[in-house]
Amino acid sequence: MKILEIELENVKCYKNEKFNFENGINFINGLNGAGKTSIIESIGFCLFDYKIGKTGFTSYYIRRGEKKARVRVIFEDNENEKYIVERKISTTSNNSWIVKDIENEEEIVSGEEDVRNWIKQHIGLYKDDNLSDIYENIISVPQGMFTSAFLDSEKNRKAKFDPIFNLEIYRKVFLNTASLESGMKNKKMEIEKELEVSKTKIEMLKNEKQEYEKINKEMENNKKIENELTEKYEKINEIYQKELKIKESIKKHEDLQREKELKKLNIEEKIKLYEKQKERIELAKKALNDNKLGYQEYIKSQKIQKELQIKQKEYEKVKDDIRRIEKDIVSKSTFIAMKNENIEHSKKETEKLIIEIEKNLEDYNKNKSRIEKDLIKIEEKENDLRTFEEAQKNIIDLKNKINENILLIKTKKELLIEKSKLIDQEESLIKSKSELLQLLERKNEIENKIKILGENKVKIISTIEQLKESKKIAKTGICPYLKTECINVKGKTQEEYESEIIKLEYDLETLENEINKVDKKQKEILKAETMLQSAKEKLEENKNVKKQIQIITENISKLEEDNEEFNSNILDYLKRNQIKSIEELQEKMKILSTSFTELNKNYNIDKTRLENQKNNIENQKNKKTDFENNIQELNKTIKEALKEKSILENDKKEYINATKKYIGIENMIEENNINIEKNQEAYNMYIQNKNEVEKEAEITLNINNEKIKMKQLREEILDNENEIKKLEEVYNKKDMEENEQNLAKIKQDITKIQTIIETQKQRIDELIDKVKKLEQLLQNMEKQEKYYNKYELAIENISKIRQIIKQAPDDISEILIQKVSRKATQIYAKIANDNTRLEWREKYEVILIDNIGDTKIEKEFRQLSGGEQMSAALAIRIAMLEILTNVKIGILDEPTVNMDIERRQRLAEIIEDIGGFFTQLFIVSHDDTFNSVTENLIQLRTKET
Amino acid sequence: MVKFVHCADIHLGANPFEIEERFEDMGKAFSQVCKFAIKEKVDFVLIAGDFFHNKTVNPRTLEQALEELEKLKKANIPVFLTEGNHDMSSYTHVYSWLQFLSSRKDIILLKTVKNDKLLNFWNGKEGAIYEHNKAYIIGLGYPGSTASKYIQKITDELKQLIKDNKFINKPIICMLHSGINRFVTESMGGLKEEEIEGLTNIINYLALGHIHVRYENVDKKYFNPGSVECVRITDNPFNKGFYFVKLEENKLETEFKLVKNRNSLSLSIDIPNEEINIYDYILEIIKKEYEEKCEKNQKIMLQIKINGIAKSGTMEINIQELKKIIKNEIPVLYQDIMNLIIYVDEQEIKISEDVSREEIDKIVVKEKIEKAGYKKDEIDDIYNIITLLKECAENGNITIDDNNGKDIENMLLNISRGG
Repeated sequence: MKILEIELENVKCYKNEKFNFENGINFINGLNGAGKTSIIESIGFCLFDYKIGKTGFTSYYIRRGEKKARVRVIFEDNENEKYIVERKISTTSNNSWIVKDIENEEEIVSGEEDVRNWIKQHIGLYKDDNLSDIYENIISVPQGMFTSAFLDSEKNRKAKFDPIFNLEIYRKVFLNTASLESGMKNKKMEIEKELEVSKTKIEMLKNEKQEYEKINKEMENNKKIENELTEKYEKINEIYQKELKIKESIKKHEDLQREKELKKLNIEEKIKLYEKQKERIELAKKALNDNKLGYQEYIKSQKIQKELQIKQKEYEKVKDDIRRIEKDIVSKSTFIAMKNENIEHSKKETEKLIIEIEKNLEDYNKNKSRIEKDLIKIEEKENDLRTFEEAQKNIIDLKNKINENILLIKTKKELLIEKSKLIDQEESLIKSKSELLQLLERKNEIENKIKILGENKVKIISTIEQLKESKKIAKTGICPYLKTECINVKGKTQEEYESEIIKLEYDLETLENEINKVDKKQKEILKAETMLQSAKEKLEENKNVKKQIQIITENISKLEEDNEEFNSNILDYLKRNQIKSIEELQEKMKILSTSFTELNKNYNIDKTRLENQKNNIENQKNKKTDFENNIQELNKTIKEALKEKSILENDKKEYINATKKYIGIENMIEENNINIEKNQEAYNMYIQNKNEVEKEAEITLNINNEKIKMKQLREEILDNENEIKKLEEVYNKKDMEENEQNLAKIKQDITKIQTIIETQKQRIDELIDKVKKLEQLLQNMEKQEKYYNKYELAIENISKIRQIIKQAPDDISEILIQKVSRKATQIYAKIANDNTRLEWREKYEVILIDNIGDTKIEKEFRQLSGGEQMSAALAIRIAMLEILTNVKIGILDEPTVNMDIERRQRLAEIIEDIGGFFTQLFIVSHDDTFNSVTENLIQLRTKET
Repeated sequence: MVKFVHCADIHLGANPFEIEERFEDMGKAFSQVCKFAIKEKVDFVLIAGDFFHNKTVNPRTLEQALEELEKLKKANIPVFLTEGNHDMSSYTHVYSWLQFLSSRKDIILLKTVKNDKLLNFWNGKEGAIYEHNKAYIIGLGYPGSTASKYIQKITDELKQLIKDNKFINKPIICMLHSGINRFVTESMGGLKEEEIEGLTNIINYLALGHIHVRYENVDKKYFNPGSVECVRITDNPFNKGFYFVKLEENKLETEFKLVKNRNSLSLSIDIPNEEINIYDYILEIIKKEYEEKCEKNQKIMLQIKINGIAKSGTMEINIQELKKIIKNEIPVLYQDIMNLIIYVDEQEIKISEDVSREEIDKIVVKEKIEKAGYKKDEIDDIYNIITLLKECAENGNITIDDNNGKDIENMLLNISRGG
């Protein structure tokens, strides 16, 4: 299995926290109280039903001040399927434990018992394993119990490890099968009783079997007699049957003879009838010959009649065609006349248009020459106007420049006045500068003085302090210099100290006054220094100011010169345009502009009119061309129509020629009709007799056939008569009657013996059931006896099995301990890396064997050092996990407790090697030995409160 | 073109067996990396985590580090470093030794900030993204147990920054202290290849650290040089080194440079099934391996695991004695010898080591059935009855009247003969 994620809500110190785990080693590291163990306990609670302390768990587990806690684990089972297990716990016993589907979070199983079983099945535990026992004793042994289990008494060790070894089941099986064994023994006794009852029943049935056998013998004899009689009967019957057959055959032949005589009479009748028909045919032959000519004439006339009718129809059609062509010729003539009229009309319209166009063209040319003259005038005016505008713009530009310069001159003059003021102050600055220099000359002197005064002051203060201290010491009677008791220092000496202190304090005051004075002076000097600096700077600056004044003055005069030049330029312009003033210029421009606008407006109107005229002429010209085209088109159409008309007239002539061959056709039809009527009767007679004559051959054939049949029949009658004579010679009536009587007698004897056999059979049927029953009883008893023997063996087997079950756990535990021990020995060898070997022996006893040179010393667990105990326990625990479960996860809580640094580092170094079996190994520790070797590091910080 | 050295897992200060020489070996290996960088005048050096072996650094280790870093500083070669699981700031020390070096400007420590925005540009003191005049270098540190979510967030942020035109015309190089696809072989946490694809698609080089064995995927643009010196005795010492990388536009050229280091042998010796002089036997094997693999001018590290099964009282090994014998023949600096031989008494029931818990039950019970006098063809039948009994007895008494009892009665009767 594999734990992927755990989420804790209101669990111990966690409000809500989620941790992810990886394959391999997951190291949970943090100081004490950071919540390491809470994570482990939550895995135990949620997946293994492990509750530390059993009682009071709820209040221990739920975060202080909260009412309910929740832990949710996502894990992967041994089939690599992922599931969610969620467990809730509350102070109001509102608890739940659910396994959910990872995809849709739907419940898979709930309820404590079911969830426990589900988890066991999915993480590779045995059905009878106790989930929390496995957790507490193998997967995650609590810190306190890690080594203590091995220190326990033998009995306690057994109680602890036996359940882990999963051997309880054998004891259970032994106990729970006792009643099965006793039950089977009771059943054996019951089977014995049943056997006795069966034996009595069999004795009774044996007598009935004897009677059955006797009757059976008698019946067999009777059956033999019956067979002999039957045989005799069959022999006589065979002869009798032959005689019966001959008698019947004679009767049959006599019947046949009568039948044939009747047939003979019938044929003679038929031949007479056919001969009468033959006479009638001879008469019809004669009539046919008489009417033959008339019949042939009639057929010929009918044929001619059909040909004539076809020709008459063709003639009617030609006449129709001629009428149609005549109609087409008339319509073509009308069409041509109409088109000729159209041409006349178009020609008249064209002539009218030519006259109008000529007149319009003349008018247009006149107008055009007038407008061109107007345009020249307008252009002249425009030129004048542009010249004036240019002059006006130049003058305005110059005036603006002059005004700008005047403003500039004004500001420059103001600046000049300001700068001149600065120069005026210069004299007083030079004077104060020399005064300040005088003051500065005394600077060093005053500084020295301050230094000396300061030093004096310090001296006086320290003397005063010293005196005060001495005074204090002296007051206690100890000499302040020798630090020993002295009577001299009391009383008078105190006053001396006092007066000296007062004197010095006065000196100090005087000194401080003087220091103040000198300080003031020093401050003045410092101020003077800065003033002097600023005075110097100002003088320096004035040099610049003077230069600036000169530049400004130069600027002003240049600007004034520019202005004069501009003014003269303006006058020049006016003169050049022969104008006295700007106002006059503007007045002239106004007049010019008005007349220009007027002219322009008229010009535009005329121009539009002229263009209209031109367009008009163009239109008329187009119209004229249209008419001319139209006439041409019409001429073409007329020409084509004339051509078509002449073709039609030719056609008409040809059709009229064609009618000539049909003249006289009506007369021919009339004559032919008279001929048909004349031969009608002969035709009818001929047809009537022709049918009669055709029957002649058929009748002749019929007569011949009947004659042949007659001959055959006469022969048959003769044959039959001979046959009857032959049979009457063989037949003897007396013999036959005798045989009939014998047969009746034998039949009676047979019926008698059959009745006897039937009675015997009924009795046998009655007895046979009883015989069968007896046989079954015998068979059953044999089976029962076999079963009884088997059952005795089964009881023996169950006793043996129970003995095996009783003894197996000791052997198994021996092997398991051995296996765990071997693994643990290897793990210990890796951790310890010294000359010692670990062994876990029978009865769960831990022994450490120390190799010292050639001798070996065996040490018990309690004799080991703390580090050795921890290493040994760790080795056995890991070995147990590997060998006793398929869970493949392990949790080590503080595994380095009691280990020295070397052992700790050694463990960190090899943990990956010895943990290789596990999918996940969780190591919980407050020391960071494992930091460097683990891949998934979960560091917990103590929550600040 | 940008030209740089990429190394990782320097583990300065590692000293698992308290051997002074080994401690110095770590410094010597790093010194070879620096020497190369200076000779080749590289633009910078990348250290992808675990520069120090421990979070707390002793004076000599610091001295080792500074000695080499100062040489690089003098040669104007900046060192970019990201934290590994060994040297990241722990819960007890908020201010780490790497931060100390970074504040002295001996290195530039690039790390993400664990709040809303993980990636910030270097502000002169801290940040995850550094704009060098030839490349952008990003330090992602050790992602720990939430690696996959962390990388997803980094990738999203980086994409946004690229979209906002924060990276212009220079290659992007990331440092990450995590294994890629190393679940099976090293049984370690870390990331799957497909989880970093989003990241490697938008950068030019992913400089990895953490796994001590070299591996790389040129197509996916990730490279892990492994440690420069064996940290554990079991590490393979013959393929240790670092990458020398040249990167121009999209053209990537890498060369793995070997570092000369301390030789070590880690041997697993199986003893034979017959009685022999075990000391001679082991010594011969070690000598052969030593001759084949090791340089002769240095003392080696030696680890031996002795495996096998032997009769009690034979093939016993005194480890102290064995160590003495080896030392006389081969120059060894340190020996780690584990005696994993299983000594067996002759009377012991011989059951092989890999037999499962259920199998043991089966073997023992079947043997007892045979001893009770049953014939070979009956043993399985009796065993099946016992198996059924174990299943049924869980629920309490079995009587002849209940279904289980009837089943068992039937099975007993079906065994034709008794033992």
